[in-house]
Amino acid sequence: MLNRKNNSSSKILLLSLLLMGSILFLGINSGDNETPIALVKKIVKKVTHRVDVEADWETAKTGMPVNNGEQVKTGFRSLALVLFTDGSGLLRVRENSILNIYGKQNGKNLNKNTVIEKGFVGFEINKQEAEEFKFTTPTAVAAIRGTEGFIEIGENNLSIVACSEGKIEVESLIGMKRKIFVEGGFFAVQQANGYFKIKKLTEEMMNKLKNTRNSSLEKILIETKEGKIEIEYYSDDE
Amino acid sequence: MMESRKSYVFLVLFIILNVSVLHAQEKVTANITVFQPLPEVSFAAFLTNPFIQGTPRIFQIQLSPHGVDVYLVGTLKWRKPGQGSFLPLTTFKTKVFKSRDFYNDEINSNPYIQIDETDYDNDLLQENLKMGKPAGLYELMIQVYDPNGEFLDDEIVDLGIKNLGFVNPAQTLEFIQPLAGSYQDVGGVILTWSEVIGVADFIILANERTDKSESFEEALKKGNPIVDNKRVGLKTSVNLRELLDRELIPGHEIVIQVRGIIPNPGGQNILYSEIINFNITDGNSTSAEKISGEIVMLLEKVIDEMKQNPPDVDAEEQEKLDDFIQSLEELLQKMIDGEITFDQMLVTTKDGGTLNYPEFIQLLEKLVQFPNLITNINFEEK
Repeated sequence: MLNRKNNSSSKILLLSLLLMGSILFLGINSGDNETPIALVKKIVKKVTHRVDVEADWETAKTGMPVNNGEQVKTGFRSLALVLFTDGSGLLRVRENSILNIYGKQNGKNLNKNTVIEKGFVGFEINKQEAEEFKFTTPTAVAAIRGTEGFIEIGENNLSIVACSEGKIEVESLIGMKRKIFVEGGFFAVQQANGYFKIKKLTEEMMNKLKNTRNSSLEKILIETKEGKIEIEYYSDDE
Repeated sequence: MMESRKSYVFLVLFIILNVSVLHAQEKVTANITVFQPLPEVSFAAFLTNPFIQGTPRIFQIQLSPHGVDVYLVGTLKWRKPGQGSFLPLTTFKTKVFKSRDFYNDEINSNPYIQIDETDYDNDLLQENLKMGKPAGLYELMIQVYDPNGEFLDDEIVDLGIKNLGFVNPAQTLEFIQPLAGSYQDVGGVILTWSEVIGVADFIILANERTDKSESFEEALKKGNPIVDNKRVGLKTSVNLRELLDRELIPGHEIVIQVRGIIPNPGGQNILYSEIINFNITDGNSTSAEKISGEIVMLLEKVIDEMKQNPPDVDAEEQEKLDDFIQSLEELLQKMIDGEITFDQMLVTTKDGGTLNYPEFIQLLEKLVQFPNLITNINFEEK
């Protein structure tokens, strides 16, 4: 009888703990939903955004939050600067790109995964301790622990990963699914068989890295006897 | 006895009456009418001496009654922006003349109204001239005195900036051509600057600016000028070539300043133009051709890049891009056909700054190398 009583008390205690746990979990979860994973810090020319693949693309605005699973798309000669709200890094989404941003809370850590469907994304990621910061392309996954570089989706959706500082772990999702490391000063070009060829950064790639940072629009006006030529271009003065 | 008393009273009354009549005749009142709108008034000339011969008609002084011997003291006062009191900028005193109505431009040009002495506060004048435009408030005071120095009347008019309406308030002495930052053919740089009333001589100083870190002033004042303080008299337009102390070199940046000498009774005032810069090109070969070549290359690269890597855009966007490519191709053809030339031009940036030749070439070369940095090119025909 005593045992039965003890059993029922234990059950009540267990149920109470479960209930409290659920409430706490919901509380944390609802709090997480309120904090966006990233913000659109700057927009140049045409940038659109949608909450999921079913939704219509809508014009993005500066300061707009980007929540888990939402997409950002840049048009011709357009640019979006996307800043992660946990201070982990900045993305420079260059022209004709589409990316999805995902974030998953793991204890105190927010693991982020940016899925690049197409285009070219420059990144500046602060040193990650226990958190994950991944980029996923149609053909590869790159894990970053704190570095600067860019990821480009080239012909046949093959990936190019360039690293100016730090180290990037890259895993092919096609063909020879093996992991490689791209260190600062190197870039990796994916081959049709999935294999990544690692090369030292060439002058062309260095310039590409440099130009990735250009996010300010400048204009010059050339007034001649015959008329005015206006040239608008990206400059590196942020 | 009674008769002599009466005569005495009459005499006293006669004297009193005559004295009061005499005194009433000497009472002269002044009134000033400022004409609105004012004709073309040179700010510097007006400040230096608003009563100078040749100054346009700005105001009329009416003295009433006419024909009484008087002299005037006129003072142009200035209240600095944010200050509470007026300070005298320029003062003049006339010789004694018969009171009448007259205009400011008659002073010293009409033999009846001659200046006896003038004075001005040089520090205050320079401070105001440095501002380059009317600032604060201006007040004109006319005081009327009899020949013995007894004050008869005064009149003060507030010449607020709005009422004054100077036509060239930005900078009295300024270059009209070449435009600051422009590109000029080595063969013929025509210098033209504004006319300033009261200037007796214009002087030109010009030098090369070899280092971007040099200020215009530093570049102008360093040694070995290309035009070494050449006097051109009252000319306001001159060919730079006629003044050169050494040869112009295409691709080089030139800084230049004109100054006007305004004589005054105490010596002279110097009015400085702003220092402007311009770039020397050689229309027949190097620089203009180089610019043209770079722009042609830039257009070809942008067109090629867009055609070879067509962006994945919707139909509406594609239509816009097609129009853009077509406009670039038309501009390219004009350039190839020599319909657009670069021997005389001006290159300005978004914030209104200018680019000198090396900076401009460097930018064009960078854009040729990275055509995808270009977001738009537009041509507007004259």
